[in-house]
Amino acid sequence: MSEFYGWPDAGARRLPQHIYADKDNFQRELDAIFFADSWNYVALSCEVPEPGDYILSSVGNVGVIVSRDRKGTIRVFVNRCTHRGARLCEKRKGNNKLFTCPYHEWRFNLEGRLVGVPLSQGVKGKGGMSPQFDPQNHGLKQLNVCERHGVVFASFSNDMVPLETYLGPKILRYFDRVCDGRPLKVIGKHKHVVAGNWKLQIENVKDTVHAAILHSFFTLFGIWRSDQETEIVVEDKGMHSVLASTATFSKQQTHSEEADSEFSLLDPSLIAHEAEFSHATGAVMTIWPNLIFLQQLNCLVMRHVEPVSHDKCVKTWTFFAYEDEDPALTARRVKQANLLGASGLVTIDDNEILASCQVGLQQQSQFECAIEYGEGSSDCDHMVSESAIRGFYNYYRQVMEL
Amino acid sequence: MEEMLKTLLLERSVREFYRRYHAQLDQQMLTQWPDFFTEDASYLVTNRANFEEDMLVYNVFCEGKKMLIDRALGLQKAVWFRDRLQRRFAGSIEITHQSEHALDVVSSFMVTESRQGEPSSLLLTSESQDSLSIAPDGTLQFSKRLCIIDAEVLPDSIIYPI
Repeated sequence: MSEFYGWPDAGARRLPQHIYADKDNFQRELDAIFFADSWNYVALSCEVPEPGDYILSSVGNVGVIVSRDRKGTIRVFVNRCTHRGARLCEKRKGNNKLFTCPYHEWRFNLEGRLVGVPLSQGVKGKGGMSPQFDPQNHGLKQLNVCERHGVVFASFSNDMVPLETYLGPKILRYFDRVCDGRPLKVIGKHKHVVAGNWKLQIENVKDTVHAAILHSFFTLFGIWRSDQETEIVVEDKGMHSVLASTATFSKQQTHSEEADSEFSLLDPSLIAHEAEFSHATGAVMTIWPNLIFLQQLNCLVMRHVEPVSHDKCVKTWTFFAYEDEDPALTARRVKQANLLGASGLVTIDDNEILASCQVGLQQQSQFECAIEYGEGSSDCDHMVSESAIRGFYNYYRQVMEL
Repeated sequence: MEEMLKTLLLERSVREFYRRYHAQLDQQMLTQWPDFFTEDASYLVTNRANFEEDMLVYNVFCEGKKMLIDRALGLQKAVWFRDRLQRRFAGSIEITHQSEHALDVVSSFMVTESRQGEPSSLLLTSESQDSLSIAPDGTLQFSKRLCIIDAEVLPDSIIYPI
């Protein structure tokens, strides 16, 4: 189907529906994006503090084990026994000396080497592994790993540029703005399905325009308004971007007094913000391909968008804090988390509208999205532009050869 | 005999309280929802994985009735979502502790959802670990409602209270 439709002449100003609706296109994305030259967020290193600690994550739609070996190095393995393909780890996290497959108890050490095969010598001199079998060739599939300031990325490619180069200086500045090397701690996780293509979720947070329209909650309390000071930063190739904005905490001026009195918080502590970072009260960063690194008021979140199928993704929200911070600050983060996730007073809007978009985009009628807010695909000093989305698709077309 | 009668009556009023709570939420009566709670009540929604790891972040974290009212109003006035019908099915409701003015109740329940006329699907199964206060006239209210959802991955947004 992709070949049939091709890409519209208007470039990234038009998005053909098949990139959301076509199963073959989804498979191509896995190969060309997730299993190719990309650094994929997998975990925070504080989630596996000790040797033997592991946590399950994913790269593309492939389940991986993020674990720390005996020397303290973080390793990422495909969560699949090399014998028959069973999942090695079923529990979402734990501590192991060895990874043992439940099927035939093949054992892998923390470096991923196959170190134990039951009945390899057979029984009473009969049977066992064939002489050609060399355990060295049957270690766990291991990914390339990098870590910056406690954030762990993995890649199926062994030919990757360093993360710092991958991000580029403009994005790195925002990355380090929150993850500056201070030890982190996880304070909770949300995980939920969004009934939409993974790119809809990524585009959604590159789209400054909707934030002040769809999210009435933001607008009502002046957290994200279309007239507030805003910076859109797009990495030169378009891969990553940041939307940074400064809340005024004043209600939309166009609202009449009547409208204002309609809804005001009885308990304003829900959005009581303590300034932590320079310039901007919120910075929403997307790192190619599928990480949303979110700082909104005092909420710090790694939002990992797992592409499940062409019409479905799973969002894992890892809420984090600094290890030695004031408990009062942590309490703010916990309260403000009410705005986010599967029950978030702001995020519900997105979860719902993305599902609605997916339904529309699957109706086969050679439809194209019109990405016409603003010009170009680079940096911007206002909110009414879809330049970060166009940047994303410039790069997408390149790697997908579309 | 009198003790047994008191216990039966208490159990009946607790079951009736939960029945009314579920029925009103099934009818999406958000404005009335906070009235099931005392002034300083907490309403917390989390999942088993977060609960077992003593995580601080909840899916919903309301401390005090004011936050519940804000949430109820927010859902009505500031959140966009598609129409849906829900139905709550209560499983066991067990009084685990009782004193003169308070009860601890553990319950299990499930919620199904039908969006815009589509077939119903299971939204969640959950345990609740609640504390109820008993007013002098016997009226029950939640002083704490803690819902611990079984699934780590939720199939959809959880919009209405549970």
